[in-house]
Amino acid sequence: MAFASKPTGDLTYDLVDSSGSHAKMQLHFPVATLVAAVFTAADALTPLIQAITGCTVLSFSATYASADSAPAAPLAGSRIEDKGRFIFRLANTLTTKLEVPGILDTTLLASGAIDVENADVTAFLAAVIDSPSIFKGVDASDITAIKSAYQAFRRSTKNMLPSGRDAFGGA
Amino acid sequence: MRGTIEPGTAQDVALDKLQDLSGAISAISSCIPVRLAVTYSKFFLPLTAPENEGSVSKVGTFIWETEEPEVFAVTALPGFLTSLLETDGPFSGVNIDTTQEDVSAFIEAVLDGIWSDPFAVDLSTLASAYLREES
Repeated sequence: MAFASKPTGDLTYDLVDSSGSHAKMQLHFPVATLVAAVFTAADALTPLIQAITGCTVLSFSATYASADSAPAAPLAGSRIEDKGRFIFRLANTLTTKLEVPGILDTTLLASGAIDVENADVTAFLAAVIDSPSIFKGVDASDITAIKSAYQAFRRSTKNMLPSGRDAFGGA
Repeated sequence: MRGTIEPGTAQDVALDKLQDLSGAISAISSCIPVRLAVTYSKFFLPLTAPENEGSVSKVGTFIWETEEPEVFAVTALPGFLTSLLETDGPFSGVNIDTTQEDVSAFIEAVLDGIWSDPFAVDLSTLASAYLREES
């Protein structure tokens, strides 16, 4: 596993026109640029975009990404629809959810719950919860503890279907 | 797989933490993480109403020369106002009037800003600008 940063980050504006249709506009910036500098530049560009379009800028977002250009092969038979659903308690008494695609059967109990005493599961939970963790609830509340963890399946979307679907073995 | 991070977390810290987490995920998943990303968003409220003329299908297309010869970058701006197109010459109604005040301000801001092509090569000048209609 060797992740490498893309050379640029992506700044994406979300625009809406008078009919309610949305569209996106994208610019790129060197990946070493700090978020604050990107937001300052994006803020400066926003009124200029609105001046030459009939659209309203709803939002913008800056994305920094890393990719593994030579990933290891997934385990045979693995499916992303087979999720490990982890529900965490937040400091403000609400909950938040993380779903791990392709949860290993070896982490499951007979009941379908995830074995939170499994060493690998414990390590995952520690990475999410333990202070100082950057991971939060959607309202930025701290994640304090695991509440429940279980296997869950979801319907396959078109993108989730296997690439090889031909009944006669073709692609 | 998607989660939320603490506001204000620097991007290099966030990407490092995500990479750490991807190791923990790999140990309990039969799948392989191939990409991780962190996104910072800003929303504008209250919103102003879009102009009636604007339609996202009218795309202002700006072709930029970069500091690398023969390498160009493209910015596609949805909802471009047709009132800002050239009105004279063979490309009237197609080419964007780059002398118009608001258009030139946009071009200047892009060229003078932090923006680059997808490979982090700086933009150097505007090569072409025209309207494209998307169906």
